[in-house]
Amino acid sequence: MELLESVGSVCVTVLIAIVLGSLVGTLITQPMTFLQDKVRQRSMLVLAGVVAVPTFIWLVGSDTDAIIASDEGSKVADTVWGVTIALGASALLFISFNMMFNQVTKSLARFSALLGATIGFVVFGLLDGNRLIQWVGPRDSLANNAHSWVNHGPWTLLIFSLIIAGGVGALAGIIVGTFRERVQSTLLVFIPISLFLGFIWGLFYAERIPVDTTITLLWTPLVGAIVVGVVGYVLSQLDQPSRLIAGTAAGAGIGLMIGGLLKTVYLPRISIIPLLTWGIGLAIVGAVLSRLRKRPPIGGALLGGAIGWLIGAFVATKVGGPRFEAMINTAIPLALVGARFSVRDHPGIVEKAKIDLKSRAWIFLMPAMSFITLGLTVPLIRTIYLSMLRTGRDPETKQRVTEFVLLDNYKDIFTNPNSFNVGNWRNIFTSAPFEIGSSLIMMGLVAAFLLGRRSGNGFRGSSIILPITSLVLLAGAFYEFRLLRGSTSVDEAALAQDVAAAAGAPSWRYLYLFAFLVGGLALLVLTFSGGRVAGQDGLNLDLGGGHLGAIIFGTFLVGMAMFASLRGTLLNSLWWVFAVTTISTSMGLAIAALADRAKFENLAKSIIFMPMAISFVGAGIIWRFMFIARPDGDTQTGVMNYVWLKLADFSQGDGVGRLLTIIILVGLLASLVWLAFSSYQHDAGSLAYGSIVVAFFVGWLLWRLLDHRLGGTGVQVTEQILEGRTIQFLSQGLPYNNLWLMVVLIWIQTGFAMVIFSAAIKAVPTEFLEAASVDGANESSIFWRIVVPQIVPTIGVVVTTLIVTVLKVFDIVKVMTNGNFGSQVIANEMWFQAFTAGNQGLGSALAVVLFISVVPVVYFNVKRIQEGA
Amino acid sequence: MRHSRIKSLLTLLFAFTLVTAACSGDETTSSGDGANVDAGETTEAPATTEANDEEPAETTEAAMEDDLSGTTVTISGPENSELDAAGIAAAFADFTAETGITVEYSGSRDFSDNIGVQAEAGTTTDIAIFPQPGKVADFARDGFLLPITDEVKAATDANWAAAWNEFGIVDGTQYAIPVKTDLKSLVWYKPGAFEAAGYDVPETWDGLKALADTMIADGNTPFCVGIESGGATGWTFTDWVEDLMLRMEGPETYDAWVAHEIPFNDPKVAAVWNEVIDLWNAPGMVYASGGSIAATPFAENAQPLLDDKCMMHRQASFYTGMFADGTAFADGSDNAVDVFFFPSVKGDKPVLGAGTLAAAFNDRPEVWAVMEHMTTPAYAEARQAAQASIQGGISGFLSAAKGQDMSLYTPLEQSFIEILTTAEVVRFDASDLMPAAVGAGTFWSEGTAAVNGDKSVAEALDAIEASWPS
Repeated sequence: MELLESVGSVCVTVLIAIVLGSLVGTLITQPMTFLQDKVRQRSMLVLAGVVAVPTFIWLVGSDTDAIIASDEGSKVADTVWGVTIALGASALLFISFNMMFNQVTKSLARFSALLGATIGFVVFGLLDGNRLIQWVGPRDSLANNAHSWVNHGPWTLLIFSLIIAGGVGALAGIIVGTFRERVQSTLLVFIPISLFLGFIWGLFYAERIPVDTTITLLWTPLVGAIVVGVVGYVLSQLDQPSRLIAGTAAGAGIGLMIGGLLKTVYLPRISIIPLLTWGIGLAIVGAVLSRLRKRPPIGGALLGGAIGWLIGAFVATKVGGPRFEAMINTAIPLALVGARFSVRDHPGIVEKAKIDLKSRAWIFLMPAMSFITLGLTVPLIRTIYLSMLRTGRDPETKQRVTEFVLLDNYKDIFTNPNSFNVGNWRNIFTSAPFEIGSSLIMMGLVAAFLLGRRSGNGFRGSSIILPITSLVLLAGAFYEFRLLRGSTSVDEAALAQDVAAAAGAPSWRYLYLFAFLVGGLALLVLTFSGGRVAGQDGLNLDLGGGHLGAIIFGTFLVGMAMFASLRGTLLNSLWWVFAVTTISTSMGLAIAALADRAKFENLAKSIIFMPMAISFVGAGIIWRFMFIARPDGDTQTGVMNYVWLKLADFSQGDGVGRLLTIIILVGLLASLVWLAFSSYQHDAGSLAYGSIVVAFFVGWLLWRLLDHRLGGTGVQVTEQILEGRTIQFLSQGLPYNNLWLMVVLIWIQTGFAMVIFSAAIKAVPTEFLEAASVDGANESSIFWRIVVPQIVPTIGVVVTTLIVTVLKVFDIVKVMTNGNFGSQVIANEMWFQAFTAGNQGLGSALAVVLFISVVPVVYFNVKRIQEGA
Repeated sequence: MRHSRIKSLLTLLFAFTLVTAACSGDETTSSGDGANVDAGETTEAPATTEANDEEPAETTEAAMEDDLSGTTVTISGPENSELDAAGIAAAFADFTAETGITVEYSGSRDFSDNIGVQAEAGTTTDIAIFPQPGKVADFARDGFLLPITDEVKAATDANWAAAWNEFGIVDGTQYAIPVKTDLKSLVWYKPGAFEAAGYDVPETWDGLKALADTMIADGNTPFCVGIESGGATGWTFTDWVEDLMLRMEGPETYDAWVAHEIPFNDPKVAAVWNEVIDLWNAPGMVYASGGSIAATPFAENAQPLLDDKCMMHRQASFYTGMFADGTAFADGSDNAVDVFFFPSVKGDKPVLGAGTLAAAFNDRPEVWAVMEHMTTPAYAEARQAAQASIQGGISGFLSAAKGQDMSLYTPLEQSFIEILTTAEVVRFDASDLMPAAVGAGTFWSEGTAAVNGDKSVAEALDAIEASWPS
């Protein structure tokens, strides 16, 4: 421990020495032409190294307490040092890699050696850093491995290591190329290196060198760098076919070494079926991919086979095999990798130039790519594998039993009514949102038809919208009919709710029945008669005006009706996606459009953007407080219920205020109707529709106010008890309580949508807007017909981003209801199954489902970005 | 010239290699130093791992023969309030002074979720304090826990009754030791309010129901009930069910129910559920400060009881900590709060208890020394004294360890311990014994759904039965 700490503090000093040295050196030498002496550049770098290494050695041996005090204050220093190191190391890396790629055109051998060294450093560093390999092991772990030759005592081991290493080296050297190359590589490179490795390895097992983590930390990547670097160098010196042989042999040798060093607990078994399935399977995939990219398929096949073999050996099988099998399992894939990189000839001048040019981007990309691979691809494969397992306990022995169940976990997800329940689909057609939504769609379509007929332009041909809408409406009519007949095939509870909502006025039902029937039939006629009704060469639906809003809102309501009836975790998550994405996008767009060029634009936008700064957990807690209900009669502490009950008081009062409100509301209603009528006459469609929609709301408000039920739940009408009742936002009124959870995310995400849309709207060329104004278009037409089509790509980006965010929603549900009251979503269920209930398989399956549902959206987004570029 | 170039580049690479490699070591160390022990991977305390992986066993054994000073033992557990943390710290203060072993405790709300992940990754603390014996059994059978040593076994047998040690025994081997106990079968009430209204403490379940009806008739609300508790919403309901299950069906059926020898949707279970839910749903029966039972946090039942919004509240002994500062307990004053034993149905007096159990993950002498200390009355006394002095009376802590200095406890707490140590039938909280998928999952969530009226009792029970792991 102390030594580790000292190394930590020491490396700070050393790094600074190197970084400063090389930075200063490079800064001095690089930009100034008169100092562009390469010897000088390099000597500066060498100087840094020369200063650093002895400093390092000296510091390792010195008293560490003197370097960094162990008090609390040193934590600040640690942080500062950490940042310095990160910056310095990045700079150093960048410079070094640039210098490395400089070598492509100058000396391929040097470049290959350096590249090999880098790869070796990273690979061995990763293996060592993740404690997958172990140069020294406690005696007992070796003793456990009874079949291992490692068990025969240190000196046998040492000799054995030497033989293996030397043998591999000699073999690799002997089969290499020309006589000169043979001698050169055998004597100078392979055998010494292999012997050196074998010697060190043996010594470690013999415990001749003091066992210390520091040393293994230091020298594992170093050895890897040297070995692979040398391989790189040699390969660059050889020509086919000896190059291929040497590459394969070297790969196998490195593989043997890694396999020999693997920690006992990670030793895989050789199990033929997964090895062959994965190996051959991925080899074919690789070959096909290479073929598609118009390259020789052999390269892809080799690489695919290698990856497949590794998966087959280390992921798909159980660990616990002998060391011998582990060495084979690592040697074969690495031999394939070696062959893959040796199968190509040396790059020509053009290719060298390409590497030189293109590779520099990789200096930045590589770390990101490897993090993504390690952080995404590997866990993904692992999760998919886990999702096919099921862990249970043997009823007799109570031991944990894991069995491979293939897709049973997925089957569970889709058959469990808690996660997927479409049994109540009939309720869709009897729910209020469906009735209102379909009415709005009908109105919108009729308007689109009328406008299209008048202007003769618009959306031509009988589209798919018409037959679908028509069928949906007819189905609605059918279920209205059954509801009125008192049929019980509809869910009892929903029926009771609907009857309560209709408040003993079945005439409403007949109205809906009539409307659905007429609307459905009319659209059906339109569908089949097409152009004849329109009197032109096709059916013209003008879908560019304000009535598009009515159609969109109607569709939204129908969707809400659908999700309110189809229940379960999966569908609930989809409901979140549907509702939050739609509402956030449209509200963001509306705010961006309305605030555009307004005086208070910046202030308004800042305020609406603010929730973005609040974490989901924080927002969940805030809104929980807002939703809190206290018992009827107590003082309400939740804002929402407080306002609600105040409204109730107001609604029930008999004072002047109430009379005044009624007069105001009636006036408002009248003026809205007048506005709608005059707008229609003046061909301002959107204003007309906007007025009608607002008029509906005002009318509803007025009706509730007159009916003494504003703020009341309305169930006590018969007793004429009219006191206000609190609303349990989160736990009652299922499934609509979910909406109150969604409100939180909408509250957060609207700001995001608004900011993006605002930028997009400002980017619409003013010439278009001015031209439209000159042509006599009003603000609404300009928005729907000019601005919206211009920002369609932005809408795509916002929608896809929101969908991904919403699919992942976890915190809000966890904090506010923890999935109780029918509000469970996939992410929270995944957490519960995997970590609380201990059903890792089911949890992983949910994770995969979540992943799969995100993939198309991400794909769409990436494709869009690529098209843009 | 050519050679010097290679050399210089190699030197650079070498230096860089050295430094980065060294720094990777540095990062491990500094993250291990962090105080936050429950944060997943960073928990990989270098001390622990190295001791396991790299230090030869002989070294540590040699160290034990000398003394254990300078060693550190880490403990994690679910208790994360300041009060509990202070109590646990105090319980080890003398121990550390004597032995030189530093003990670091970290409490986390998400202990139950985290410990499984940490066990899989091999990054647990040395000792974990489990609130659920069911989890101890799972961990023991999966090979994560170590059987306690003979010394610890001897100590715990001497200090704790066999009934409590029983909870740490899995398949005949003891893995965990009891460290804290709770008494669940209690009803909190205000004797002053009862006296003023002329109510008597009921002796039987029917008597309790009759009393509740009388209270409603008098315009009082009998019960405060709230089952909301964040991620654990519903556990209060399961406590009611368990207490009544024990009373209505007897301990044998209770054990069969816990062991899943009778299905969860058995008519006997349904009867108990209906008994609870019907009682709660009776008009005027329940005051729920959050507007509905399912929306009322369990801790928010204390104030309404003090404010006379309700007359009774069934909750465990630790509930003392939920009452406002300065609340008087069982001292005869007008506003004092007292408890009566949850009445029996058949005339017996079964006790529903709960508690925490400590078990070791790592085999080091200092770990066993700490475990041994945790079984002693000295540990309980120190923690009780510290928490009592912070709270100024009732501590919220309770231990049934034998041989404690009872004067450290208030009379009310003494009566709790009396009940725990003398009861003929003691049963552990059933949800803590069941598999986590049920006990910390569907039992809570489906119970909540049934209480909230989202599901019928039959639907909820069927769903729980379906979720019982095979």
